[in-house]
Amino acid sequence: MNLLSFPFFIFLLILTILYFLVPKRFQWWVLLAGSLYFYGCSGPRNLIFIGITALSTYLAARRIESLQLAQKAELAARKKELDRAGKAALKERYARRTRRLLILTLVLNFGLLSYFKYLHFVVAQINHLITTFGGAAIQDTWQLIVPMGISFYTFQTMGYLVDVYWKKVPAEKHFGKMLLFVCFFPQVTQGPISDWSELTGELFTEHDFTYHNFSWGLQRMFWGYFKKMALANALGVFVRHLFAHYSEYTGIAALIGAFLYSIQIYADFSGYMDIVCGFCEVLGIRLTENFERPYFSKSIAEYWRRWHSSLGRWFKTYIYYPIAMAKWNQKLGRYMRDHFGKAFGRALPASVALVAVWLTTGLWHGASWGYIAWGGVNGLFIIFSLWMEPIYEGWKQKLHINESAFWWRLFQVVRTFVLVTLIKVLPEVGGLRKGLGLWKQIFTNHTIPTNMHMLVPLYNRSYIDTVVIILATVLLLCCSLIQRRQPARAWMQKHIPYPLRLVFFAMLIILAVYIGGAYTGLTGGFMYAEF
Amino acid sequence: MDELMEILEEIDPDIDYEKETRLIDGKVLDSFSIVSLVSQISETFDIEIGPQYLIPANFNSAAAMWKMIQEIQDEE
Amino acid sequence: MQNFKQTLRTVICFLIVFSLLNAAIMEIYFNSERRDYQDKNDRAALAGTLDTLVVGASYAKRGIVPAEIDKVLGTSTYNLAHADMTMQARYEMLKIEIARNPVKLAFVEVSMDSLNLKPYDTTREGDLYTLARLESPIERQKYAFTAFAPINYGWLYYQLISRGFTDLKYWTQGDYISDSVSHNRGYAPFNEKKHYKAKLSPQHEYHTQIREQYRYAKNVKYLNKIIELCSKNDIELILIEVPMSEVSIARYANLQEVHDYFAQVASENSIGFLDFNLWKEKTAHLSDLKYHDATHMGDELAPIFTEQFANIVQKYLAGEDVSDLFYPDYDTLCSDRGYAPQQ
Repeated sequence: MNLLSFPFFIFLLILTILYFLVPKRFQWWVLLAGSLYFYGCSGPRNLIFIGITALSTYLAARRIESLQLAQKAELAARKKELDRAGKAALKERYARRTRRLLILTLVLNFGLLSYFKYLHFVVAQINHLITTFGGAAIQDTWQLIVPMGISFYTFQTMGYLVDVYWKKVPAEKHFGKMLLFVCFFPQVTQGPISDWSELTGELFTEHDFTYHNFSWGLQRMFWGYFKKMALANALGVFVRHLFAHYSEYTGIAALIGAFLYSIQIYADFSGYMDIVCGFCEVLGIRLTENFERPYFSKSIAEYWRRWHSSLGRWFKTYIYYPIAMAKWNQKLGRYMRDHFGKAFGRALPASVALVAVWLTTGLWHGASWGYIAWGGVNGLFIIFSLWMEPIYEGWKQKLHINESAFWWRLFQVVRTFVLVTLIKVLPEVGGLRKGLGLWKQIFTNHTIPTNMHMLVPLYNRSYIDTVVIILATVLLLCCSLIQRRQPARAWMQKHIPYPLRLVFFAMLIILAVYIGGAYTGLTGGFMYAEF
Repeated sequence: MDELMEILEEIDPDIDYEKETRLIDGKVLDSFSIVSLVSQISETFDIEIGPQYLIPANFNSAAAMWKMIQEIQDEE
Repeated sequence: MQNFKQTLRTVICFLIVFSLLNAAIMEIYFNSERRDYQDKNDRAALAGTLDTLVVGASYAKRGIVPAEIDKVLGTSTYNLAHADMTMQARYEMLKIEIARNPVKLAFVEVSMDSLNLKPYDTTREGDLYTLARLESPIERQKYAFTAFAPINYGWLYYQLISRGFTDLKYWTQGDYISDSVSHNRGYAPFNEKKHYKAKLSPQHEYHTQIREQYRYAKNVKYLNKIIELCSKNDIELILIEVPMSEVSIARYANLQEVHDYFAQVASENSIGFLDFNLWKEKTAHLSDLKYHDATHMGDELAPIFTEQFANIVQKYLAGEDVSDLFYPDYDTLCSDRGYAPQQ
């Protein structure tokens, strides 16, 4: 179901009414029914795959937990008779079984994900190899319809399974609750990726209807629709044109084009988050945030804590820490520390883990060398600054740079934004080669008047739209600046009278329809919905 | 507890570990520091800090960390 | 309860504010005069003086010059046509003008797809224009709800808002009322100086295309209402087909069937029907090279055509038999002009 459509609004309305009419203990049943319906609209066939994920995880988690309890019971019962080695052997026996079950379920679910996402890519690479050696390429005629949100729900559900394995959370006994966790419709398409305790704490508690939630939730939804339709979709037209004809733009013009892409994708993705989180707020459910004014970050590492943070959190919890804390890695770290100093000892295990995190992050974003390169470049920057940190400290002291000075922080923000933009466009132009081509364009031919001249036709094509885009971007910037201290809606409640607030939100909708209406047909749905 | 404070001082001497109670939530310690912190703790106290202990509540203050260390030691 | 009351209050207030803002933006569109069909001020100024009306789609709008009719017949004519005008719109506009003018004569142009536009689908563009020609918000609302189905509401809303903003843009540039409304009593010449460059197709392309045949009930209903309206008000009604280019006449295979249908409607209701595609002297006066495109006359041809048209009408109104000025059927036309005979 398209989020920008009347059927979807009707669906939300009916769901909300039912949610607050039914006895509170049935509220989550309404959510489950709605989510299954919503997911079913994307294609009944897809229900099979999400069902496999939910069922396999449910069964595996319960089995793992019962094995762990059995282990604990047996250990307690035989405490007196076993020595240290005996205890270790017993633990190992159980561990083997739980580990096997865990791995089996992970392979099944990640296997499904990989099949849908990476089959074409893998076949293409194999074909490259084959043809290099003079063989006949495999025919890749498989039509794959990727189940909606498979990247998101697979990761979220596997997170739960690993949490059970690590004994962080108890296994869920009620399959219905498990199923809701997997397919909860506001987040199944594009996230945020929640963790089990956090989400279930919200989903399975009772919620009252409050005016505050209703008002704030709707305000957030309107703002999200505006960001998506008036800003992201409109920018999308400019950006697509620029990417398709990047060889005609050089220097600053090409760089501005890249900046427009940065704004577009932020407005698109965070707009979607606003719609989804805003709706959940109406229901009284808090979803985890995905964005925290990411373009105000002062370093790439910080950027990744503020952009798509639920994904970053997932990678941190399930890939970074396990690898960084692994015994072999820690031994390596100690070795480095003993022979090369504290800095190396700290940096190396982290770097190894980071390489794993960034290659997989790149792969998660897309099945192409462009995305893998993108992941690699991000990782490289982070690893590089990690190793350089002691040296940077030295420079900063020598130059007497005051870390909290405004101009220094501004420099860091601008530098980070430029870097992030350059990295971000790499896979988006249409493949690695084209991405590098755009980079080349940015760094050549710096006659600023000529460059600015190149942008004039874009402005002339639709002057009123350009004005609205600029205003919308300024509005977004102001909103972000306010949010450093308090929620924008609280600020508005304090400083803007009620009638004016009504006018403001009414205008957001009208402008969203006016600007977005022209472009929605062209750009289709949300960008991250391809995942 | 003293050994713990020594390790913490080595990680980042600028932080006041007696007073600070939001080391993780306030983003005072970053993930790189946490990795070396955990590595040092497990080496010094000869314990294994399983993933289930890697939650903010256990690392937000020196006292919380000490409590976690004792918990793990009791289990083993 | 408190929560619910507050929510209701906010929802109602919001809807009021939202409606007012939208109405304001749409009013900019409704009161603009930038487009050639936005002529309600012109018509209001002439109210009470018109005795002849022409209504139809763009073929009439671009092809019939009221001044030429008035020269020949001594009447006071207004061309009510606009592009894509639906049958319903033709009826409504006629009704409005008949109510405030001493109308004695009406021409309804029935060329091309007047009965074949699909209601609530291909008709929506034309009906959008009609909305801008109605005077009061109440009239507009009534028309909007009968001409459009719920499935069109999203599209309609977007169009009205979008046009409102566009006109707002022009207003800020000081160009709200431009001279694109030609003030020619509804006639809007195609003055782009673009000329139809087609030549007569090779013989094997004759009669290869079929004009859309299906006549939708809603359109037929409004044609009948027009006939009834004129009969009730004692108005002489003549159905006309504005002539297409020769290339088009040769190209279509079923023009006879369409002609026969209207001829029957005319004879059943005792009204006139003049099909100017069959006008013998057409090729002498209207060269294909001066057509704007396959079916619309350019600005040089419209006055010429209208003058000849008015002469023929004058004879018709005097009771003369004008049938010898026209071919009896398309087969005769085709064999006379050398197009392969109609199948």
